Amino acid sequence: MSRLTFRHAKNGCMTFLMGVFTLAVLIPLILIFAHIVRMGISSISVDFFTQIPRPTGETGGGMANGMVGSALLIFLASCLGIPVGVFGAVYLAEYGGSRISTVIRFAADVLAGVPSIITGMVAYALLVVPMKGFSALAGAFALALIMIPIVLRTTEEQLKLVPVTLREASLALGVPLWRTTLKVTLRSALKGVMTGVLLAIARIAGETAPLLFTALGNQFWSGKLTEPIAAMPLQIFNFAISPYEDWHRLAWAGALVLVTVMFGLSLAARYFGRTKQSGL
Amino acid sequence: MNHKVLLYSLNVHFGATHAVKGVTLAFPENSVTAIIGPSGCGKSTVLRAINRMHDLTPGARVSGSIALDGTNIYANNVDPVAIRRRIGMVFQKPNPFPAMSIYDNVISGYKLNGRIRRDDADEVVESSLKRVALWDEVKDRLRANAMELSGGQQQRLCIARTIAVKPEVILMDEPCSALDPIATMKIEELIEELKEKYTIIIVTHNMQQAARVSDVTAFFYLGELVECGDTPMIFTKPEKRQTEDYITGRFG
Repeated sequence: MSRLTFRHAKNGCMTFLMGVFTLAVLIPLILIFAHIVRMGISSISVDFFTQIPRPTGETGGGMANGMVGSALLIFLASCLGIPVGVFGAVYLAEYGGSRISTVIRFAADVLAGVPSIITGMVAYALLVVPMKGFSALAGAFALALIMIPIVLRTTEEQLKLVPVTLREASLALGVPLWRTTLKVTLRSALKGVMTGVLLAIARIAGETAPLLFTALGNQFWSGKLTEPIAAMPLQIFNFAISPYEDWHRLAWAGALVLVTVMFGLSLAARYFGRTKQSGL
Repeated sequence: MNHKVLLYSLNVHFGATHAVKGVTLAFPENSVTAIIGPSGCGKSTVLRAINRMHDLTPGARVSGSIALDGTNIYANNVDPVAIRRRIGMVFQKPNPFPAMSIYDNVISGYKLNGRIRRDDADEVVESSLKRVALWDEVKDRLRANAMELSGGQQQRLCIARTIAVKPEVILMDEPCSALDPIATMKIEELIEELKEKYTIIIVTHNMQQAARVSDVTAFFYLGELVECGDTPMIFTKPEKRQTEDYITGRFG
């Protein structure tokens, strides 16, 4: 066999191997999604989206309170996590000295790596114990802690991608630095920032552990932010470990809804990420 | 002739690097001064010191003084933002705001700083674009994105944006180095016209350009001002040996 044919053969083998590994990455995702659809689709009904769970023994019921609870928790967490993350990133990218920036960046990376159950325990100690009760606020706080480093780092990266020449163009026109930051730099990076925010939301939407000691979960509608509140991942967890066949079916349906929402968020994030080069 | 801008023993340091060394130099009003010299001689650094662009560079330190109409712009009570409104700048690469239309780019100095009345905006856009001889080329597509223009048109748009906020001094940092010869010629003609109203300081790599457009030429080498004089004198009878070597192409 000549050297050239050997090289061609080697090239073919390697390309084939890479194809196999690519498939290996896709297979688990497809399996998970297919399995959840198969198990959950039959329990998806109007009731599932409009009813709260029924007591054991009664059939039917849904996860409406969990969905509203999750949406509320995500909204509250975003109210804290997005501004802190975005403005922290603006400070790092535009104003910060090199030493303090390094410290903050390192702290954010460590925070991102903290197991989420620990984050839940911190929120428990800081909010649940002093307030003498589990609450939506404590749950949202724990989720915000998870959100902040993700938003911070992606926003900072996006701000750094904005060309210096644009900032200078604005400054040279006699526009103050803060207006330049707001209207030129941040505006240019907006789509990238949106991508980071959506990914952070997708991440916290499925978090269960930080809610265990904070939001706790609730079989009913909760009236106040200072009361325990239901959340999709918690409800799925509780139903899945229960001994009742009916609740298992609801858990599967809940998993299907949650995965679909996260899939949608990731698609939206990709959409913003894809077009971020074309516009400013 | 009046001196619009006066540098007095200006020093610029970047960390440990001494980029501009004790430069004293006057820029006459309503005329074009060219700053020439080989790469790394500090000419752009001097230019950027004049509208306080170094303020935002970490580690940059400016000492000495720069007077604009006799007032030191580096004095403690001076707002750099107010200075930059009086001293505009055109950059090496055309840098229109990519998300804005041609129209919005011209009035960007106003829009980014707040609001502008519609009638005023129309007038500013028309007069600024006419002044840079771009009006006839773009008047039918003012709402088009600025990035659709050619490089030369973009640079003229950037000049229009700069004069729209009515500065007194215009700094130009190698404004033609990214442009083709025809676009360069248009910009040079424009500079000739603009000097009636503005004081222009232009950094250029191109000695023919300096000879064509400027009234006064300053030659920099290794962060120092070697020689400054009327442009015809610098290019025909320079006093210093270094200047002669540079303009005759023996180094640089």
